[in-house]
Amino acid sequence: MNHSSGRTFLVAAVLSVVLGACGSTTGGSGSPGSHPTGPVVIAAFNPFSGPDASFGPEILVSCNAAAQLINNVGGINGQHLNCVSSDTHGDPADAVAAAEKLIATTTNLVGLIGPSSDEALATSPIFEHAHIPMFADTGQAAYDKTPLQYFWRVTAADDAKGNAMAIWAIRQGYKHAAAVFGNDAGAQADVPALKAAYAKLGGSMDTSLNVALDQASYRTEIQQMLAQQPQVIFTETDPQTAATFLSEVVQLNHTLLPTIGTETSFQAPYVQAVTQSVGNDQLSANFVAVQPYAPATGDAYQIFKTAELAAPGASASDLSTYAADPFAMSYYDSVNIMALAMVAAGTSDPATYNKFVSKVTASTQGATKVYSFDQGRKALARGQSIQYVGASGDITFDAFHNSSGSFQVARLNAAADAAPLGVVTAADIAKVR
Amino acid sequence: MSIVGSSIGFGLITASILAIAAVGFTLQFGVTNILNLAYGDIMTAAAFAAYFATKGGAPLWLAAVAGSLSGAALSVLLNRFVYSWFARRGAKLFAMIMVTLGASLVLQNGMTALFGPDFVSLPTSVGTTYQVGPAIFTGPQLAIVVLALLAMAGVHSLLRYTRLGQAMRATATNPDLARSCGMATNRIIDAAWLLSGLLCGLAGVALALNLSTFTTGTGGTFLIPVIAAAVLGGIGQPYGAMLGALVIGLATEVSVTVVSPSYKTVVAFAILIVVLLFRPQGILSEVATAKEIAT
Repeated sequence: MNHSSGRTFLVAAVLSVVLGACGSTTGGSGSPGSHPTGPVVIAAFNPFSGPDASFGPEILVSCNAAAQLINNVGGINGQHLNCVSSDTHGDPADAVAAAEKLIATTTNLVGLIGPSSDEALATSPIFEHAHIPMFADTGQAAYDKTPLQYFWRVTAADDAKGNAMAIWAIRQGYKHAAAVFGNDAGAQADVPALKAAYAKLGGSMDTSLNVALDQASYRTEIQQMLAQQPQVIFTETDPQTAATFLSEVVQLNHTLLPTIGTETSFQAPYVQAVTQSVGNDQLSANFVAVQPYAPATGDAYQIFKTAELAAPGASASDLSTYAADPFAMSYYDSVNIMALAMVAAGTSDPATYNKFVSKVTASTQGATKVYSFDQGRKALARGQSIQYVGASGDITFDAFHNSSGSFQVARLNAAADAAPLGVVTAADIAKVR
Repeated sequence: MSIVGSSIGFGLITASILAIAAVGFTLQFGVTNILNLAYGDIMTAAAFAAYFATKGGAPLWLAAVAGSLSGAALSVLLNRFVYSWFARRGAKLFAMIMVTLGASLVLQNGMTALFGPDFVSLPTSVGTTYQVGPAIFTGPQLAIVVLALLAMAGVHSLLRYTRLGQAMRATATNPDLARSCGMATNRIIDAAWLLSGLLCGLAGVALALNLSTFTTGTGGTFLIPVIAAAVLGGIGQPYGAMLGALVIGLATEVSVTVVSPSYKTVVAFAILIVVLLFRPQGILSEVATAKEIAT
């Protein structure tokens, strides 16, 4: 062997050793079957700015609430849990960049809460490819039968929400309605199921408006709508649009029509904007909204409530709101489910523990019901199978990783305390789907 | 027919706000050749100034004056301490656009930091409504239309019958020649910013009244139709901006009677594109000229 070929052989040998040591990268925690060390990270991947800026902070606070309880008992398999934020700006293009940056720069990224409807379609394939479990807060019907293995949904789908709106309207005797939804993806996801369910129950959707957001005026649209004499308005828009639209309804109709909104109506910016524009009297007399139902009772809820009210990073007023919000409960439960799945799998490697997510929530024979991470890890340590029952209630994933649920109807008011009026159960919804 | 008639009436309100804003925008651009992307945020700042004036007990009309003066002051200061600094150092058109974009981001985020992300509103109530033909208007809405007419009459009088107006028109046409003729172009430019800011502030207050509630991002959202109205009429042409505002204001409302309301903005910009295809200089402008930044 001459010197030149010897050098070549040596370089090739060094390169192959180096490349072998690097291994493949399928996620923030290294290759499948590996056992990462150091703190593990769950990201709140949602808007922290833009029209839906209220989503991200609530997720981060709820994640921190769960993380504090987990870390207080030694963490996940001895690893500390950190929660981080990743701002998608509520824009798909920005969210793609944020997702790629999150995966590339976050050591030990083991899961995320998100994405939301604003960016799910653009980013869920990215996290699927990176094998990062995502507990999404999107209700888009596109995920009702998703093939994505790393996608999990603890909250009900939007089309189920549309069904609930229709059921409630018929219960109140409203047989003629107008649909006023923003032309954004999140709002539009509600519309087909709403129309189908309302028609199935004998209602007539006389007007259906897809409104451009944040316009200076909607008077012509409102005039057209009022000409059909609707008994009720179904609506979901952003706060600015809602404030302008509803104030102009009052101008042209002298009073607000009975209105049924969605869970976005309970967000503080929405309540604030519409209260300023139409007044609390009109609002509380005419505006109700549907949101995922969580009983706000029981052991799991009490543990959640205590943790949420003590969580860092939010005002006392916001914490109080979060503690009563079914979405905050679902975010908190999502962290616990991921954590318990990691304990059950014996590793924080996402590609491995992902298979244990449905196992720690399934209602199987002999499973021990647990209501917190600490209870769950102790039961698993004793060799028992567990069923995690969360602050948001029973969580049962179907074949497509969706967990259905019931809806609560509540009256909107300036205090944003969502005075409850009734419940539309999962069984009610199943009848119209 | 009554739906179309009422939509024309509703479109006049939007057109009125657009006209005040677009004339202010185009006046300033015509004299300085700076595409001020912070214009919408100055509108928002003026609305907040009016809001705080009402919180301090001022009646609405006085709050509107406070808003207008705030817009004027902010515009003059922005030019004096930011834009003119870059212009004197030879910043070209694209660089100046980036500077104004930066100013916009600073203003909007600064307001959010100072005032928070919450929605606020000026103290108005629906009160008595007035039927004018097939359209129904509230008192504040009629006031907006009257204000717009007065503002347009004022701008027309200034440009046509005053020495300042003549000087502004001369500087807009050829700043170097105007300077050579002994005109104090620096003061004329200051006056342009002042007048533009007054109209910007007034438009911001009118917009806040019309929307019933606003936040720190409201004015920024409104900037695009303002620019569209100014461009449609012929950028730098105040009378063109009035016409452009009328076209866009009416088109966005009347279009809803025939197409889905989600196409509202699309219709307005489609009209803009079609007009520019046949008249790239805009409706009223005689010629499109390439000019440098006026200093």
